Amino acid sequence: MISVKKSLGLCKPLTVNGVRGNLGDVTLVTQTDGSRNKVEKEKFFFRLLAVPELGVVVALIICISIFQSINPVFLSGEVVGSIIQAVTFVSIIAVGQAFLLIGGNFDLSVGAVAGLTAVTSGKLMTSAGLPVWLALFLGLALGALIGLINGLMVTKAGVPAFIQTLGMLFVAQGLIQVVSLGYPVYPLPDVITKIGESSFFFTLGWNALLWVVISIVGDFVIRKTAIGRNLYVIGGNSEVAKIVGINVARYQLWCFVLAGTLSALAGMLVMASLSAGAPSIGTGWELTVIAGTVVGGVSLFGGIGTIAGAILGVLLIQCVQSGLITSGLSPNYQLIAVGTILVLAVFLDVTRRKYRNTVRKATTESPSEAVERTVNEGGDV
Amino acid sequence: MNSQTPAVLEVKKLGKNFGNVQALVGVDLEIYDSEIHAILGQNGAGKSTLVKLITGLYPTNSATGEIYLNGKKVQLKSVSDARKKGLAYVPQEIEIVDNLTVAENIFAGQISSLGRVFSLARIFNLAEELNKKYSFGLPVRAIAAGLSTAQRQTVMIARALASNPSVLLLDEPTTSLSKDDAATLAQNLINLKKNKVTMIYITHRIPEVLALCDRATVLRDGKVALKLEKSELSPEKIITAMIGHSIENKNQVSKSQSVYNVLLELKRVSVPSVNPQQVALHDVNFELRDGEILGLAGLVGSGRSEILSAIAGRSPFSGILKVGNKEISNPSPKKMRELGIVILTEDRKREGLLFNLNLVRNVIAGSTEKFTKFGLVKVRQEFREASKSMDTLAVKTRSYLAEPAHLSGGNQQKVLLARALTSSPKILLLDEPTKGVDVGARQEIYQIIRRIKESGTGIIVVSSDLDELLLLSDRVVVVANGTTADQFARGEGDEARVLRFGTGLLQ
Repeated sequence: MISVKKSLGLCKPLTVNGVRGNLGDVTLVTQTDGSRNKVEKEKFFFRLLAVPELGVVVALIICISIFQSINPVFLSGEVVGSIIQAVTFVSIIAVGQAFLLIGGNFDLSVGAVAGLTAVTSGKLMTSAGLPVWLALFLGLALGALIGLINGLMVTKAGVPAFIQTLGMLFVAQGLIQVVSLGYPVYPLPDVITKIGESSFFFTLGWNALLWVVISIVGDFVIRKTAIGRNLYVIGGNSEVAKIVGINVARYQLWCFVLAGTLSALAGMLVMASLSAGAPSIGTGWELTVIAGTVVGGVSLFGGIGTIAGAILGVLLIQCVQSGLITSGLSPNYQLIAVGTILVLAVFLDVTRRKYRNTVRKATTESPSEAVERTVNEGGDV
Repeated sequence: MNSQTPAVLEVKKLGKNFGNVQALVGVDLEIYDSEIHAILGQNGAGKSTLVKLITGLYPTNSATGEIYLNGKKVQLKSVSDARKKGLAYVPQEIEIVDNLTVAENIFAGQISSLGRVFSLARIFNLAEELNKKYSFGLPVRAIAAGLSTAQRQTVMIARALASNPSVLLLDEPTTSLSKDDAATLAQNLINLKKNKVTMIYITHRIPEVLALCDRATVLRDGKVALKLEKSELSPEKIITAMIGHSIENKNQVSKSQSVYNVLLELKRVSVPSVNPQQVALHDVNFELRDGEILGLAGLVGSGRSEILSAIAGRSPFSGILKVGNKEISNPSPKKMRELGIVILTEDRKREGLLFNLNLVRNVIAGSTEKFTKFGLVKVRQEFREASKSMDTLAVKTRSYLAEPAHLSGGNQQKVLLARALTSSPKILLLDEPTKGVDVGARQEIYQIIRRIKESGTGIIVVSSDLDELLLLSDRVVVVANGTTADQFARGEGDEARVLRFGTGLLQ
């Protein structure tokens, strides 16, 4: 065998006749004629179409170029930093929400839980005088507990997720007022302010770091682990999941706990960046989170979508909101833009799926080509 | 048939290509007044392409050839256009809106053509008329939720007839019906024929063709393989035309085993009924040996499927259920699965396939842990295993990355069998494994089942098709009224014995 070194086969086909790379590298087809190249391009096109996040990435690029051309300040370090700052909190929650949605559930109480844990841990570290680490830990535990209650009520008691989490939204909002009496918890210990003001890279600190880590871990788990695979089965059809021996209730329960915990984390990060446990933290986030995840290609009916998509979706919405400001439009247009994007995103996704199916039907490919392509796509659709 | 009378529906040299694939080549078809005309064919024979062309799902101008209706050449543009022109279609799936009345269900889709103001009384009257004319015996004023399966099917037919069509096209109408329901349907169709309704009957159940149909057209490889008049209809002719060669000898004797291990044992197993659709079980007794196929025979509603459900851990039971030597308490699907018990349920759509995932992921579902290292999925190995099992079972698809919605019934079933095999089952429970599967693919599935058995797996098969059950099973257990009534080894019993015990004539 002639060993072929990895290269960008698309641009520079190697000229060793008749030798193909192993299954992994179909781009290493070693013929130089134009028809081959065309086939390669088509394959590349198909693989591109197979990327579930394609739509949101394209939309993001378009938005960025438009806003950049209107006002070049858009891609300045300051604006980018502020967009990321704004995105981190909501998209940490979006990770939890995406897990829930892929597994066939959803949680409306995430914003209220974020607010409640923020004021509660704030109170614990000030009025109750607990050490900061313990107060933060108890905040996370409170989020997890609320997730657990949601999860138990949905999976064991059979209350629909919509009702259970809507109820929890009201309860948590009420508890915010009970705990805070309507006033921001202030002043907080210096450590909290330091966390909030931390800056490792440009203006990005702890919250950005946690956001990146959680996103990467979340995306990895959903794509590459058995847990992720099983969640897609559950979201696709929970009856089937039960029959093939997946403990559906346990998976869904843990998704609720995860969503609750991540909401708590986000809430406390906002508290740190504000240096105050404001009762308004998290208000209205539940819908922003769901809009973002759906824009990113996560299905409301379960079983479809990725974490990367969800985060890109939240990012897209934030880009548009910030872009409208740098373009000098009234902030009143932001909500109109968000609503339009939401509907448009789902419409484009539906169209993409349809197009992909019809195009694939029309191509005649041999089984072995199908095998090659399939291996390349890694079954990641 | 009298060839002087003009055909109601005539199809001339109809052809349709998909890319380079010729799905239909020069098909001629004549349907005469007041006849029931059977169209038979295997997967890929062109049956469904023909149906889609006749019902306007594929517009006529997307194909070559001509369609004549009552002597006039027609161009069908869409499904609603075909319906307007007099081609009514009764789909395979029963689609009824449960919380509307029967009459509203019958006229669903036509409400707007009945006048601007919606009048329930008018719809009741129209439905009552239709009911009387064709003696359907439907409770037109009742809410549809309370209807039996046979009645639901009748509503579907009534809905199609409501537009006064020239031709009524029935697409595998008995697929989801029990034998009794199928008999009701047959009676309905005979009544329709008396009322001069012309029907096309698509099926792969040959006895139905013999009993009901006046003429038959058999398709193979997109062409007409055979046209039969009533006097010529015979099972051998039809089957040979469908598959192109004669089928294997039915009375294949398998070697009897004298030494065996008991894989599964049920003693006085009882399951209470938790909903009206579920039959309560009591005193179920039988054992399953390694490397055997055990058939559960009995009427629909006798408790056959409930026995499988109990074994698969889907319903709590009392009594003794032993897997190997282990007595099971607190059953759950997960626990039974871990003991090597795998079930393929009857309802592929609702309890089998995952329409959000590709075929590879469908096959791997539930066995993911087998393909992981430190919790990570080994994508290539997963893919190769899945495609290997699909290769062995000869799943026909353009790609293993396709979604299962595009596959035919037989291929969907093979995907589910591939899923079952991937988990290396010790005990395989098959509920109606050939439901909605055509004759050719049926033979393949029988072969697959036999091959699985050769590997030592114990298999329990439930089937409404008694011929199939007797053909496959090494031993047969007859179920009647929620309990086991009789059992016998291959060759010791026949259809008559099953029916005697199964209908409760003997206890």
